Amino acid sequence: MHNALFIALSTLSAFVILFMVSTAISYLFLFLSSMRKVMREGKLEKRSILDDLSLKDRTYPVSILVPAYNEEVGVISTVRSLLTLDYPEYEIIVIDDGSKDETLAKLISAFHMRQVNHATRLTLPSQPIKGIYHSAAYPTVKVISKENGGKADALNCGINASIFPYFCAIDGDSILEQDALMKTMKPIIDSEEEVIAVGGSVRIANGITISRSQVETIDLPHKPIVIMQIIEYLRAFLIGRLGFSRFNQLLIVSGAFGLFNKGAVIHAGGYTEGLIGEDMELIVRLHRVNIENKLKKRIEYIPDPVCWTEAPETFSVLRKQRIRWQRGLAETLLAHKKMLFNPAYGAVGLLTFPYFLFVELLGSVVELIGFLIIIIGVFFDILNPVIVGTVFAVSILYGSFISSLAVLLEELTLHKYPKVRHLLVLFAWALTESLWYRPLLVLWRIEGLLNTFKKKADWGNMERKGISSSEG
Amino acid sequence: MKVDLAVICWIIAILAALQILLLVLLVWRKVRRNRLERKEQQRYAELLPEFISYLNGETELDMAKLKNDYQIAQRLASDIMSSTNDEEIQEKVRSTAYTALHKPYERALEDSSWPVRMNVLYYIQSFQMKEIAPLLQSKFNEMPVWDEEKKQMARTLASLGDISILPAVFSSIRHSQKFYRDVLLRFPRETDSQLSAYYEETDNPLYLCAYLQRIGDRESQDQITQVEEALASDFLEVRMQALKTIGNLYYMHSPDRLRPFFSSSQWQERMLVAQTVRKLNMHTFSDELGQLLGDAEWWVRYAAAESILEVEGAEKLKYYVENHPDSFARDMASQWLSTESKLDAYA
Repeated sequence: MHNALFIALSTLSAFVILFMVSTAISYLFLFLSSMRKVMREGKLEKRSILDDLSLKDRTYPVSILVPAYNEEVGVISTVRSLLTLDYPEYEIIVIDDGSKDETLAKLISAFHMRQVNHATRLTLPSQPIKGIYHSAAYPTVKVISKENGGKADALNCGINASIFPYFCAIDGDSILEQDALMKTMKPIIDSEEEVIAVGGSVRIANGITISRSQVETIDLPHKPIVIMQIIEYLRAFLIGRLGFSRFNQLLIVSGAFGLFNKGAVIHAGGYTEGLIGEDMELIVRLHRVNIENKLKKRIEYIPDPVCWTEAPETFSVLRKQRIRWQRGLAETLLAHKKMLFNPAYGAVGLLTFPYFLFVELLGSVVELIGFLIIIIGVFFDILNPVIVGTVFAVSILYGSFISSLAVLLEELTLHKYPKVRHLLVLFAWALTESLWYRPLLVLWRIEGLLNTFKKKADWGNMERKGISSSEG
Repeated sequence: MKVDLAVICWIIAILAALQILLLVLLVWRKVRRNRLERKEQQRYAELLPEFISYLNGETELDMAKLKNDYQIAQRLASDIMSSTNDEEIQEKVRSTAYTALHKPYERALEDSSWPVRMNVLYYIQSFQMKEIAPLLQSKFNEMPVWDEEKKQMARTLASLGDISILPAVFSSIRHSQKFYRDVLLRFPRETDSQLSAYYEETDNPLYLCAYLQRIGDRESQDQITQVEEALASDFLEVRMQALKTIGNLYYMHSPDRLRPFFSSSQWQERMLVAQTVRKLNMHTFSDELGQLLGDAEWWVRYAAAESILEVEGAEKLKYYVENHPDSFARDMASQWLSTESKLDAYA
């Protein structure tokens, strides 16, 4: 009996080791791919390029869509920060999705909104509009008050009301870099519209200081849980997304910031209601439509930070967020299961889709087994110490080592964190990832996986404190 | 699993050592970078008053200092160029930049690093280094693929007034209209007659559109005849561009040439003609605008309502709210009347 258990655990360990090593190798491959692009683009002098882009009326006008549900804490500062964007022509559309708090009232008061009778085309289905407001003080600001229908529904409504050929979807609590639109429009201009969607790096705003709706100073927050999320974002954006983007395999553009060709999104059917991961689902569908119609379109990602967003500061809020994310991923993969291992969808179907299924979605199960093996090995004398040691080594490689590479990549190219202390802190916490943060994520991701079929989609807003501001 | 525990310990130790090495590398790099930035800032602060005093003709400039530190020279010249509209000063900055920077730039154009070459292309354009154009031109001709660098080279050469790139830019390889416009708009005014001559001799609709667009962007009313003739073009995109250009010029000789567009089979032309009537504030097409207010296409109705409001006034739009036979037309008129900020603008 003991022998059978030993064989079973050893076999399982071998599987875990193989899985983790191959995943770590794929991360390293993505890291090297990202490195090339980041090194190449990082040395470009952005100021002269962006100045040139803005001078000659080379950009396309953009409608910025801000879906908001109970965002009374952050929505005003978000719109104010949008008003200071450095971009030739844009409109700001806040879509209040039937908020129960003072979101609409605060917007009306802050921007002197007046109700207008606006004939909106119903290009995409969405819940009925209760009222459309235009700002008397800022002609580019509009607010749509509509019946509650979820984030996807709100975005579809915003697309219907928008008047420009490109739209930028952002979260109600996002603070954009002043040149965010300019930077993200660049791949579209450079590719002569071959690029239909662009994502940029989303950074964590906890710890930064905002002055006049602009990022003034960048510092690290004190809470380890937030620092770990900063490292995690660096890893996800600078290694993962950038690496996939190089091969036109990007399956996620963050809901916190994404720039889209409106025509392409409408052609693909807009955002799908009732799903949690509507941002990822849209990107997967854009790929699908692209491949099915043999269009040579691209979805790009730029490494430059374009957007700052507030991260959860407590374990309970972070847990809820990760459960939602995992459910969103599961729902998207399920909705497009036809693409899995389907050669008709090229590399997306044969490589990227399986990667997201087995590594991003089901990887948590394998990781949990790995952690259990370590615990069993340490506390019960069932397993060979060599096996336990190997699992421990690969889990460090898988977690901490890759995360420290992300810190390296950030410092080599973007160096947004100005002090040596910042680096030391980030690096030191990155090393601890495998010991406490990653096991927690694994548990929450499994919880999310189990919850996939349980609940209906909702906004799932987290508790906002508002980003630190020197405006008072 | 015939692996010794010692091997595992070694692997863990190597991973740990690699992490420490990475950390040392990062810290060293960060310290070095911060120190360099401080030094560069200090040198910049020292040279700036000297450079300004030289530009104002108060003192002479030690050119050797600039040549020895071309990054600082580049930053000084770039900052001054973007902060002044004084043509005399700009010209002086240009000639100083050429003296201090042309050799490093010529070397940089041969550099193996893509960002180095790209950065230099932007600076050559910014400092209008026409003397480097022949070298750029030969590199442009050698490049087989229309990648980002070649496109930027075309833009830079256009800004230096090199008309010889036109056949290559408007060749069989299809770029976006935005790119063509971008290139053509960069040509300096001195090249107007050469661009016009090329317009007359070519029948490439891509060039025709870009050229008409340039006329609109530059507001060259003296070229209105060429634009009006383009209204009769066989190419839809050329006719549409001609309408847009007339709108940008706010002027035309023969408004009757617009009449066929009100009944065009292309909705884009109907929308554009409505917009043109608004921009030129023409009162002669009142009935036609009323007709377009009930168009099947949303954008046409939108443009027609805006034109009626601006040209005929809110009363006319109110009349349509009550009397237009088409319900979509009444909705659109009502929308425009309720948009108070727009009404204020037309008051």
